[in-house]
Amino acid sequence: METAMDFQKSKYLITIPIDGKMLASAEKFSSQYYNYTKARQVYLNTLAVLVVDFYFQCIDIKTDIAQSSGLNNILNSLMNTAGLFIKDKGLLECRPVLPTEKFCYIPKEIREDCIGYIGVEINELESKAIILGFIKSVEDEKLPLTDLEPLEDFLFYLHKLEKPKFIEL
Amino acid sequence: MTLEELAILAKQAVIKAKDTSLNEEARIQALLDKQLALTKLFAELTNKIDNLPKPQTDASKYIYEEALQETYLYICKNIDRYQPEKGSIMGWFVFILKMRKITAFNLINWGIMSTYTYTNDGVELDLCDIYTPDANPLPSEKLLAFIKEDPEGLLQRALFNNNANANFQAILLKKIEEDKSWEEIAQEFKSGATHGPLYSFYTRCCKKFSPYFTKYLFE
Repeated sequence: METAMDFQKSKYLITIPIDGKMLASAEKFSSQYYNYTKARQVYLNTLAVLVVDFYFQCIDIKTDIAQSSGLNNILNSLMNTAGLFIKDKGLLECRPVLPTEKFCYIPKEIREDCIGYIGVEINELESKAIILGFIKSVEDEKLPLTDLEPLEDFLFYLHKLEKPKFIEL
Repeated sequence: MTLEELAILAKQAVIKAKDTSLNEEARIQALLDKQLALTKLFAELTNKIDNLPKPQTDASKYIYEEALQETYLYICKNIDRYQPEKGSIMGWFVFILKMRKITAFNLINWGIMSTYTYTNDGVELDLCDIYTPDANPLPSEKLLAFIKEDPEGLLQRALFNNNANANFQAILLKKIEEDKSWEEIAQEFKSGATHGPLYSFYTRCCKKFSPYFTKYLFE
């Protein structure tokens, strides 16, 4: 079976180890829900945000945790959000996918004011995550992983992006 | 490009980005070049490291993932100090990883796993302390109860298209309690053929009321 990894091979893929601290944070955020589906959603969203945030730290992109909807337990109760706020740029959604999935789910309620989407494959068995790529905007709720652009394009895009005129969260 | 070449490229890019004599425009360009070079190096490194054998026991795995993370961060932040004449980038990486593993082993808190995360300012914040105070009933249940009660009537007064039925409270409950799709919700409110404006309204209200919920529930 063709997986996310196979058709992304030509691009720069970054594999981030998922450590105990990330797992514990995801566990804590998700433990607020009785509903298993919601808890699972929050768990994976949290991991995706933390993984991308770690990559950003490594390459010197400044983020703001307090403005990140994916790490705000009110906003992630109300929306299926994995938002990571990039300083002076805006909110980026870090959408988790499982290793067998071919699509990334992008709910409609998170599209407002979102500067783009990063697909993150979460491999729980091997305690790692792969940053698959980036897309600026989406039409559908189901995004084929093949549509994701390489991270390089994301950096060019971010570089050109103007400061948002207003920031509210 | 080989890993060595990428490492040298990243080193040069990082050194240039530190140059304070550059003008604004050149500085921004140097930052982009640095991020591009580090991304390529990072990708190639993770590709190589991912193929190395991994520890099998849970305890050593926990140390391994954490040490690996710290090593990536260390290499990215210190690549300008890389001296290719003294050894390969892989050699340097493995050396740092071994040191980190020893440190991680000594520092590990075997009783409880900590949940702190690094922030970009170099200050460690405990995410859970800030955002998820312990509470009984569960915060999600408290939030739902609060939404239903709407003590000040603010949620009921936030109307979509002046439609008294389509208020924020009613939409919230359909969305988070009944888990309905936007198409279904739009149909129920007969808000017209398109549901686009409805979920935009929802997003705006969520952001607007988020501090209000936080204030009532956690302060």
